[in-house]
Amino acid sequence: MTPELLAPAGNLEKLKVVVSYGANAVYLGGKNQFGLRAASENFTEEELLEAVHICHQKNVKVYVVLNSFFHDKEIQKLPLYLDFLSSIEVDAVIVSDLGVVELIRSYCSIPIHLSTQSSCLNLYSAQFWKSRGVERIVLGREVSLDEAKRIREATNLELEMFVHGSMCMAYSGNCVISNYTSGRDSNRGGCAHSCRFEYELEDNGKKVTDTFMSSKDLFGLRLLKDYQKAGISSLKIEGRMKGPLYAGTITKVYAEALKILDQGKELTQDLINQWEDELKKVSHRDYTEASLLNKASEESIYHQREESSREFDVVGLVADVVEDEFLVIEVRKKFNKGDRIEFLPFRGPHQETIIPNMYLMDDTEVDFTNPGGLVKIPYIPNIGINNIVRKRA
Amino acid sequence: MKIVANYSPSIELKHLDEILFCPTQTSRHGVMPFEDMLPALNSIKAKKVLVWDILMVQKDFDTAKAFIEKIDIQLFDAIRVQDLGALEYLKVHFPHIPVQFNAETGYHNAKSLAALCESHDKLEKIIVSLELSKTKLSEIMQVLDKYSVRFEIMVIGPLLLFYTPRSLLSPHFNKNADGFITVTGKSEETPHKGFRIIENQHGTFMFHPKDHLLLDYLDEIEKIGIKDIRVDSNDLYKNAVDYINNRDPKDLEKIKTSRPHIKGYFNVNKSDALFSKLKNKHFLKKEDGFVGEVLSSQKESYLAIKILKDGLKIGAPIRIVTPEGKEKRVTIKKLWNSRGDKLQSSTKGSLAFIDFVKGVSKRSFVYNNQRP
Ligand code: SF4
Repeated sequence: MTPELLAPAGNLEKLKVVVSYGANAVYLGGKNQFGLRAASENFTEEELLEAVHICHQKNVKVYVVLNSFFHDKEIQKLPLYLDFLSSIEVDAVIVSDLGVVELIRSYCSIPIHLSTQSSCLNLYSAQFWKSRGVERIVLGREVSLDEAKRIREATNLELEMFVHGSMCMAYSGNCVISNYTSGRDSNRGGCAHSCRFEYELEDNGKKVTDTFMSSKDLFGLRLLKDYQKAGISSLKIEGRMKGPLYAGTITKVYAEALKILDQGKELTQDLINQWEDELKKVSHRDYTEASLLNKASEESIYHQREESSREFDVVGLVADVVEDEFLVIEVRKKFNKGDRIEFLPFRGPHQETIIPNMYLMDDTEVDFTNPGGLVKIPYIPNIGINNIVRKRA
Repeated sequence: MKIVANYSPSIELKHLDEILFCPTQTSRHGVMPFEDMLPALNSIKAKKVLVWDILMVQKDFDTAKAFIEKIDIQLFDAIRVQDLGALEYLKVHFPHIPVQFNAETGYHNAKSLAALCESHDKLEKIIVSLELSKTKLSEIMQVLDKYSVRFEIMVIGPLLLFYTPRSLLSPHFNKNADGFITVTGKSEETPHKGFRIIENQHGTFMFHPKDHLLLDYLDEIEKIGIKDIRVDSNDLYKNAVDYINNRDPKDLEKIKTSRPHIKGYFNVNKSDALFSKLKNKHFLKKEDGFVGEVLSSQKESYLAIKILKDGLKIGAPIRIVTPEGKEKRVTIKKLWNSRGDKLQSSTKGSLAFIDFVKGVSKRSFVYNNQRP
């Protein structure tokens, strides 16, 4: 069995991007107090309906996050929302709170996935949740693939694991730094990312300044076959807060890799190198395989402040395609006539072009673009609306 | 009220009802191996509880399980766990041993705590979260009154902020003879200074610079229905126990002046206030008649609208809401596409252009009605 690829959808635009770039499932949050990404735009009920419609048309599953640590006032509001989620036929809800699991199980038949926020790390814990009616468990990021395999074999539960992206340094649900230093509940969407700060540490006169509690980003591409062998049902990409370039690029790379696995072929070193080149083009911290093979070591700590390394900037998104005539680009970052830019089609390799000429929408020729504006450039085949346009940084 | 405290060789047992034994093998903050506790375990008459509060991936679980299976579990009157796997394991393999569950991280509603109460008939106690205010605790306790489970709260002690299994300090500092590293930390990015950070065999732990202190609220805690109070501070436990028994304000003053402290969220918890603000910013799209989003706004020229839902029609009144929440109401006089072709209406998924509207910027939302 090839695992499904589960991509983040911070808003409707990003959802369309990841679905176009090959996600098999998306996870998203509603505009309410039930999820963990307060600063992400999230979905109104209308948008959720739209999201389910878009996804189900393409056979893509929709999982809705309800994974904050609920207080009683939120629990009271939940049944109404569950009615709505049932009516639009979402495929599952992602939950971390035991009370919420109990409520959903007794109230409706939406499948329940246990959030990584619950830090389910071992097979007895998995058994506990299984007995509560949970169908899938998103294992804690500390669990190795070997351990996941044992849990899978012992419980026969569907397991989901993270495959790529930023990582919480703490055992999920076990960090309240933001709660007590910024007045924001990290387990209800208010994490201030205090683990990324630079700290001055002192012991007996010895002083060290370091981002000592910041984690490198997870990188599971080289281990896809091991995920498959471990019987993992779903591979999750982190990043509901990230932009469309990030979500689209990561989804495209992993979708291509999983497709090759699905065809029973090997992921050759050449292919992996190509994909790694692609992944370097988006904003990221240094990569680590964290605990996937062995317990995360010193190597997994990111000794830099938030500065992310990236090779490419997203300079725009394709806003319109008029076949054989032109492409309209919604400009996100300035680029010039004569620049070499790349398009990231939904399938296959990126396409490079040197911009021969550019026009405003009233056909005035221009030499450079302004962020926020639209420009027309000559038509390029196989480029679609919402394709990402990027340029070397 | 029953007083619960951690075992240490210098502990004075007078007035203590329950002693927590935290061996390094199973306890995240343990400083003494189980073997060194044996004499005390054999001699102390008060209730003895084995603390097994580490979180465990399977490999660590196997190690802890082997330890539990090897020791004489009868030395203890109960076992305290935080990992639900440990709870489940004890239920299956040691069904007669009373279990205490540490619910200090999460479990902020009555339903989840009730589910815990029902999870194991040998569950004798739940340690409640310090993030629950007294009002919430009181409401929750009323719901849980029907269970025979006791509840405990820490009334003095260090406030754990962060727990990771990774070794975060050893890249920079050497371990002491017992395998510990203890440092203090500060950051220019937070006004708080003096975080105590410890690394040991179970990972790295960060504590609040100030102690958590609820000794001022003992009567309220009792009234709420929490009968067990934990004195978690090794060096101040004696003063705390004295105060609990005598209620002599001088004892409390001594504690308060010896170290900075906070009362945390006991009076009120507003840590989701910002969260609500963040959410409200985005409620704009919820209304009927949503058309789409302004992709580009070119002064004196056009608004480019990405049609996400309903289409636009010539002559139709529309309402545009800017990201700052300002509203503009206009009637569509001209509508065209990317090629400049005039349109009577636009369709879902297309890019449509209308005349520029002053004050409307990119990311404004367009609605096909004049309400509200
Ligand atoms: S501050 Fe860091 S470790 Fe803590 S919850 Fe946020 S991301 Fe996780």
